[in-house]
Amino acid sequence: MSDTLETAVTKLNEKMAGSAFGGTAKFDIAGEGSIVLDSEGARIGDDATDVTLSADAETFQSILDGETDPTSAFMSGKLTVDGDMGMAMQLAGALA
Amino acid sequence: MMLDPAPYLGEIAFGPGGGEAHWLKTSDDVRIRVGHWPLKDAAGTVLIFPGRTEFIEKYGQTAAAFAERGLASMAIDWRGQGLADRLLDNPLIGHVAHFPDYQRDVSAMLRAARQLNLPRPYFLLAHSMGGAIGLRAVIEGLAVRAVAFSGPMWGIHIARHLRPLAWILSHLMPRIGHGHRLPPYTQLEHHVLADGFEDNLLTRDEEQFAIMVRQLRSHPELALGGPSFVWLREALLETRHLAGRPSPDLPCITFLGSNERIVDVPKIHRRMESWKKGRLEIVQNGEHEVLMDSDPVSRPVFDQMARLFMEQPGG
Repeated sequence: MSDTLETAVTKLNEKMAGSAFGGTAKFDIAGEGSIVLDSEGARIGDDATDVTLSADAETFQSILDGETDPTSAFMSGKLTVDGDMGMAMQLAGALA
Repeated sequence: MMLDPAPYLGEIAFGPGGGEAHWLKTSDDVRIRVGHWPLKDAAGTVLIFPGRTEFIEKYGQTAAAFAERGLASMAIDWRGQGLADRLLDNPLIGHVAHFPDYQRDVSAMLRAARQLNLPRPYFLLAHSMGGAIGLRAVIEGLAVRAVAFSGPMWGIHIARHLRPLAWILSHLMPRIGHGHRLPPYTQLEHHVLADGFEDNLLTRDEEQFAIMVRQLRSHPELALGGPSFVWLREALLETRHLAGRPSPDLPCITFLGSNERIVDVPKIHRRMESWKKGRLEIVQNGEHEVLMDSDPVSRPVFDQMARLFMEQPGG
């Protein structure tokens, strides 16, 4: 397991603590692996989810650090969304 | 007719699986593009006529909404936009030599639908400029069982005091060699990218707007700016011509956003008041693109269209 993934899991759990996000989502980080987010929090995994967000490690890092707005990353094509768009926007709100 | 495979930009279409696209040659040798989304055991196919500046992939979500309701879909890139041949040296200026030329694109689309054996019967969904093209097509006998319009361009919304100017300039400028230029108050940059969410005239839904931006940013070749003086002249002449022609004997539903600011609203009321088998639905809180708004706005629109299509005999 890569450090990138573990760091991302920690940051995601911090960010999502207390948020009202009700669905399931997967973050597919190019070349690193994937993280699953559900009602129990974030963990390294590859389960089927409502929505999958894919990007390179740098983009994810920047989103998690609050430097990049997820909606802007989506608009510019750096972040790809597969599945329930509504869920993705909810998540973007929670992460921003 | 040759059906050459064309690019289908699935990653920005958010459409149902199995989408594909083809190049077609029209009778006057313009290359256009059609896309379709197959559906097993479909109750028919909705032919989608997009508006000016739009393209096939923008209707992927519409196709998904129809698929949920048992209908397959096909959409078109009109000449001069999307990935179809652009008609001027500056590809960002929307242009058509004669408005009825779009009927050649319709004919090519119908030939392709038949050749691909898309499930029958056919229905029509026509938006904005597609609504002007679609109206002429159904008046002239397009083989569809029922028709739905969204914000149809049966007139262009121009402030009353500027209307004479629009007519004069759009007729004068082409005569003095400036027919391919942009009229005042129009711009080369696509409305979605130039004006941003707060000032957009299309949707009140941020998610749908984000998708529109994403489509244009990741595929700039799809973008289109303002229209040429010639396009404006042609659109004014075509809508005036259509206003004098009676509506066909076809079931019809027309959706109009309560906050429509692009097309001529009174013209829509006038036609729908006299369309015998037609009805007008005002979509509360709707802008120009009621198909691409939040779920509470768009869902009832799709439900009503599907109901109209499904209740047709043999449909």
